[in-house]
Amino acid sequence: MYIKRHIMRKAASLILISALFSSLANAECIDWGRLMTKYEVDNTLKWKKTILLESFKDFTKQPGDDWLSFGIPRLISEYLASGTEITAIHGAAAKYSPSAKPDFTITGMFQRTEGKLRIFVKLSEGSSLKRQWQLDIPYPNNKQFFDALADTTCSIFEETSPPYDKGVLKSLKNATASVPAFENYIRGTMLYQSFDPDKMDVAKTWFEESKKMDVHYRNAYKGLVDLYAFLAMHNKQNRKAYSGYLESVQGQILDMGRFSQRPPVPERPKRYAIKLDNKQGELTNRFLIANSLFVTGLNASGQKQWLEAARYFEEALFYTPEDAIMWNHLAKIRERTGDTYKAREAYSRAAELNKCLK
Amino acid sequence: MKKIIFIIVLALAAGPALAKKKPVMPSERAVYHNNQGISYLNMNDLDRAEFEFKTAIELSPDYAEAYNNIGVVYKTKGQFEQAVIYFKRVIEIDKNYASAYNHLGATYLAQGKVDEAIKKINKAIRKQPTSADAYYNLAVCYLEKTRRDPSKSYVKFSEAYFKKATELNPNLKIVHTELAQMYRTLGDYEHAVIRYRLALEDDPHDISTWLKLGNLYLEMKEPFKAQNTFLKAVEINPDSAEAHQQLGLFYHNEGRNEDSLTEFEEVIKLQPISEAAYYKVGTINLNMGNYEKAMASLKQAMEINPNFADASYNLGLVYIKSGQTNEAIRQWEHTLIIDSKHARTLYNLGNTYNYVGEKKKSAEKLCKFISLGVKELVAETETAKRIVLSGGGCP
Repeated sequence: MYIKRHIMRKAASLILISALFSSLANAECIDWGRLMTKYEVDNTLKWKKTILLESFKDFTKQPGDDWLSFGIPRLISEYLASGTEITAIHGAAAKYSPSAKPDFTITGMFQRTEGKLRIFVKLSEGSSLKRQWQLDIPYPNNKQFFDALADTTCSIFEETSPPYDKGVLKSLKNATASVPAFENYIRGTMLYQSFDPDKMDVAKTWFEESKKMDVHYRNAYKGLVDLYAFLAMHNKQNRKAYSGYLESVQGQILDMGRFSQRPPVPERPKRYAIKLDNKQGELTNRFLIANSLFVTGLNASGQKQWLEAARYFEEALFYTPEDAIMWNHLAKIRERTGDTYKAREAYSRAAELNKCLK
Repeated sequence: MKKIIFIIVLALAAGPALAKKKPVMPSERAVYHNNQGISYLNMNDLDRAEFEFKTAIELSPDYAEAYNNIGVVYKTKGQFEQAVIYFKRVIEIDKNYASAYNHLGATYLAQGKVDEAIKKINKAIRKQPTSADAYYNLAVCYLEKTRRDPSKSYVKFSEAYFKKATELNPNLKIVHTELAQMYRTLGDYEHAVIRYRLALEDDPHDISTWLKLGNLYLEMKEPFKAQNTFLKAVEINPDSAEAHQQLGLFYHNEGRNEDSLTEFEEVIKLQPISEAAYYKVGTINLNMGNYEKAMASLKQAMEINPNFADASYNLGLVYIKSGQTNEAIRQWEHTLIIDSKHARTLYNLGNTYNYVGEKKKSAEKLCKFISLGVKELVAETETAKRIVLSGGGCP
């Protein structure tokens, strides 16, 4: 298969080809938070039941505890990913999810006294309290932080939607035993989810610090993968060089494979399933696959092979449906092939994502 | 567990002297990093300590003490499986390293594997019969066995091993308090007092021991001695919230509401997130008929601890006493979400539903209350049975 052969190209061979369009995409044109969470939000919608996790209240307001407000619900939402019939919405994904009411809501509060962290987790169905848990955990650097929240997650499953994959939950629980590594990852994620390019340098430092605390912690690498993918997407939409960031994405993925000794967490099936073996040198990240297809499509269009180019762009958009520039390219190619209906549709998708492309 | 960790840290500092045999001498540089690690460990900087111990191992791969210390770090971090791996590695390097057997036993105990813990600690004692720490841990293991199965009392073993630990190290204050606690459980108050006094001879400024002794005197129905002991604790540290709290509880039990309120208000000043103090202030005000003050304090207690079922229950009582029946029902329904088996709530809510004519709900709550069979509430159980019977029995 021609397409597949190109997908299998090594990341190192990615080359930058200048965008061919005239419209400029600046920060006012794109709602970056909505754009970067689109993929996750679209995947969320197919699950039958949803749990919304809100920020936890910091009762004692001890210096340096701010990250726990985001970190505790984030960890529970990660553990809830082991559920087979339920999905958790948290952080930026919650902010940009459609306004439909979730089935359940988790709120909470924490208090820190010397050497101890007390967490209250409240589960509500609609507006009525369904159940409440109290956790007393040695703090700061104790594995019980992860164990106790994983146990609470099991209780949440019992109250909401019981089926969950025990193996997945175990892997998630053992992702790291280091609370400082998790804390740094959360601090990085909080900044990353601002989707402000100016804050990405600091976010990067937090993720790097997380790796320092636990070199085997996959989330630290995943955080950097997301961050570089965002920077690549941001530059691409603004017609700036972006291939360097995609190389960094690939670099982090390779590092993750090299340093990670713990068994990886099995992933849930996704709407845009990428069925590729994770052999060395092959692409598994959707941004990298999409870019490889994009570059191939540009080559085809350069040779005036319009139908071929359209096929590559459509394939690429399967992986990164949030890429307005790619939709715009597809629209132009469709115009050339005389398919005005599909061209209009693609222009419309581009304009939805980037107002300046109208 | 706190006590075990305390012991472990003592053993850590003594580690090099305890090892009978060191198959391979570590390099000078490795010893330096191991010592650095111990310094960090004493400062509770576990990550740096771990890094230093691992550096020591990198320099001297058969450095048993460094492995032992990493095991201690992992145990302190709650990573018991990892700790076990390291302690076992120590034993592989040096099968006579007594401290490693002791730590391994303590880790098994923390994992709930009591019998395995006893085996390992006994081995530590065989390797080093003068280890007070090992005897202490063994005593704790037998206490745990008793706790799990009270019908097979291992208390005598525990007592003997605690005594042995204090013989070997008379300054091991924690053993005196453990022994005192054990005597107290057995009802042997005289020996309990002796042990608390011995602990206080070692450290006269230890507030928690003074407070434990005060509580023991209360149990012995000696309120004046108890009061003096609590006052002594406050004198030693006037900023101790715990001491004021115990004194407040004492006054409350004596019916001295004003004195009690003063003490609990002092606790709130010293420790603004003390739900217990707010609860007590609320409860005393409830008893004194100051419903507004009671409501404010009980709400504050619940703000601090939303899982505080007793505070929620008392708040319901405040509503009832101030004539807000619907609010009381709502509050008690909330209490049952927190604790579905809160007997007093079930009883009062059942009665209130009966009072407002909600017979079905009343029967449901009262039947659940009856099924709990709370010994302390025999009269209430009888009343509940009568109400349920008059309504046609349990659903």
